[in-house]
Amino acid sequence: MSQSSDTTAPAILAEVNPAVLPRAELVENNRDFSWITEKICGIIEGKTPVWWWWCFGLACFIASFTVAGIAYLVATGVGVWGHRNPVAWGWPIVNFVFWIGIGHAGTLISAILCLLRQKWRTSINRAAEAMTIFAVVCAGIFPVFHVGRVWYAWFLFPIPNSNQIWQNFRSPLEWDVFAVSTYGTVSVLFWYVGMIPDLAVLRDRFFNAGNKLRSSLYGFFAMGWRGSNRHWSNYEMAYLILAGVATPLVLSVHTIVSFDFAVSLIPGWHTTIFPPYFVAGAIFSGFGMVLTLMLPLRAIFKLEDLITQYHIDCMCKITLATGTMVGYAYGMEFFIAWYGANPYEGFAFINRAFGPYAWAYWIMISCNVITPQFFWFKKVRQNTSMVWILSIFVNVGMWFERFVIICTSLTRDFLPSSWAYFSPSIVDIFTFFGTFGVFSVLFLLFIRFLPMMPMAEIKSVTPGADPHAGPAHH
Amino acid sequence: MSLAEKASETPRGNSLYESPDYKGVHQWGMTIDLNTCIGCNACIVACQSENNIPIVGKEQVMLGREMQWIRLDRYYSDGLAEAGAFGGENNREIPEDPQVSMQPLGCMHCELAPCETVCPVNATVHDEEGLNVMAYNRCIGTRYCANNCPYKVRRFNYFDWNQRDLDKLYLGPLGPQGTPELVKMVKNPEVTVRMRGVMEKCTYCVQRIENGKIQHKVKMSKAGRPGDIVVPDGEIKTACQQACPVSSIDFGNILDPESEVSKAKAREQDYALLGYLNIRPRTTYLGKLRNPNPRMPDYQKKPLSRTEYKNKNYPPSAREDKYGDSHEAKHESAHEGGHN
Repeated sequence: MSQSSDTTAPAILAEVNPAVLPRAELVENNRDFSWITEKICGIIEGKTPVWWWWCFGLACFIASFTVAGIAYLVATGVGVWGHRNPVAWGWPIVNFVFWIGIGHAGTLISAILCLLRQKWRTSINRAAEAMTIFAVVCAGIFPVFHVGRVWYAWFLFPIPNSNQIWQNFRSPLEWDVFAVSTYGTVSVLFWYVGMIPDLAVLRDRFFNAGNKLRSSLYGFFAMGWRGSNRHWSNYEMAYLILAGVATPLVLSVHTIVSFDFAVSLIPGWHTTIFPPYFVAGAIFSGFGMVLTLMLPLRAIFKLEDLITQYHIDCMCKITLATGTMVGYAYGMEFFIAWYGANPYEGFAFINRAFGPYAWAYWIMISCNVITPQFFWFKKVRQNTSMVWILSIFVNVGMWFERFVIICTSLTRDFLPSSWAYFSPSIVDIFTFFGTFGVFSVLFLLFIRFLPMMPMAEIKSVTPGADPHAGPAHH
Repeated sequence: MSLAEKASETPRGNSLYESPDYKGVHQWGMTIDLNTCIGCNACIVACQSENNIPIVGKEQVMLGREMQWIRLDRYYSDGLAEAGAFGGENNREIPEDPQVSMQPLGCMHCELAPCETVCPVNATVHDEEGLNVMAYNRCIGTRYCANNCPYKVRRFNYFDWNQRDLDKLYLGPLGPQGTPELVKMVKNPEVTVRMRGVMEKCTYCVQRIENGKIQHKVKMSKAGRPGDIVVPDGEIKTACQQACPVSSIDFGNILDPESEVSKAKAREQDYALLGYLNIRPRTTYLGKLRNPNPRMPDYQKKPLSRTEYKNKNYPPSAREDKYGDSHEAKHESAHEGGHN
């Protein structure tokens, strides 16, 4: 571009003035490091609130339903559940897939968002990981106890034995054993390693406050953390490695759970779309549960500066994206059932939408396809109560998704002579209801005794931690 | 390719999974002739007594926990083409004048058994003579096999049927335990009594097969021909086969082209139920022929329906005399005359 004395203006701007896009702050109101420590440790150090005791008592009571239900089941037989001839898997497997799906958000937030350097993960990852582990605990109850002879469940593990029978490695259920136990182990490790610096903070604070017992307990689990450069360097590397290990697990666990169905030959189960569809559904339900849990915590503990509107926005958007994927999968299943021209599969899907379980199908569609669409609107995302109510619908819808997949397919498969209608027994219902108690007991203990948010990580994303902090300039 | 070759030579459906090589000298198979079956349920009763199948009581049957290893499926149709096999408009309720089709159904002993690939503990496997066998002691009761069985012939012990009072199943350990002496004496000593939490299903009467093989071996040894271990056709009969009053069921060695079962399977009528799933069931059916030739003297527009039954057993003329049911008789004779 030559300079000329022409009166015409140059083809380019003489100066570029990009608009300054305001980035949402991850910690609002310019809170400093000490405020963050006081806020998060204060929850643990303060007097146990009265509401906590009420909730804990109620949760224990509800959890006792599961304990009683399982004890009755083991003493009496699987017949106490609603299972019947064509429906050999009923509610327990529905509940297993439901809980394990919820467990997916934690690892997604911790591992995948960590590798993608999504800084907004910091204030929600600890609680989400805890949710993951407790959800896996609840999930694990069902496949273990739904077997007919639980005292032989160890046959599932490749332990050398005098029977000279090895496991059947062609069975997706066997893959499940490894997938779920690996997932549980890595999630616990990830959660624990991430917590070490914060446990050390609690150790020091309790020591200074003169509480020797709690100080030494936290100290035991802090494994001698001194916050040295070398510790931090090792810690960061360990955390990164665990994030790398956990990332494929986010995808693999629910893929393998979906193989339980996809690898079988039942119309409505035997579908290649299941792995991606299950993973999307799992993340969808997981974020639904994170919202269900985090929004009340945010209100109770006044954490609005740490879990900001931006965080809620991000979670709503992920819910919207995965919910839409799930909706697409529902549509695609129908398309393939028609396009595949297999009369059994065609029937299975028509039966889902218009058969005896149509009520469950349409609950699923309304909760999983329609509900998340509200998150397109900023007004909805900014209305915390609205978000919380919608997140409940997501949870309900995802339970019904598993119910629809498992029960409608099994009740009406190849030979009409075997068709039947499945209804759960009262023991089924109470055992499932009780797992919410089990989950709540664990979660309440977590918020009472462990740092709910990673203090060190949050501090690193405060505006104050930015070396270029200060008024924006270029 | 003869069936004998097919059973032993063909690669197992080109499956990636390793399958048994089926090198046994016998390859067991069964055919059920749907033309001769009269639906008398004798096979079900015979199987129940032979195989120590527990009685579960009507409440549990209502709940869908029946235990029969062989069942008799009944399908009602009105013979209209548009009724559709898949819940079409005209197939929602039992028709006014139904045609009944019956089909006895037990474990098919699929060569590529879908139940076997999904069992995580290898409790259901194939033997080299083509039997799909259950290792009850290994079974932990995941019930995945029952889900994946397209015929839904697997039966699960939801309660300890043999140890508990049928009225007090739900009491579990609080109810009385043990089998009364008299009931114990009913049991077949050659067959296991299964406990709760395990899966069971038709074994092709494996105890009879083994007994037959042993007895034949002993006989041949005594006769100085110890190598001759192939059991002649007809020496081993399954309980259902033995009880069938119309000999609908053939069972035997499909490697022997002269066996009754091989001959039946060689008929054009022979078909595999749900054969398209490539599971290669060893039990096949001789399809029902409905005499569709209108020139035959006993041609019925709706064979096997109530109309046919009435026309055959109470001819319209006889009925008019007997019951004075002139209206119906006129109607039906017109019906019968009208289709030529």
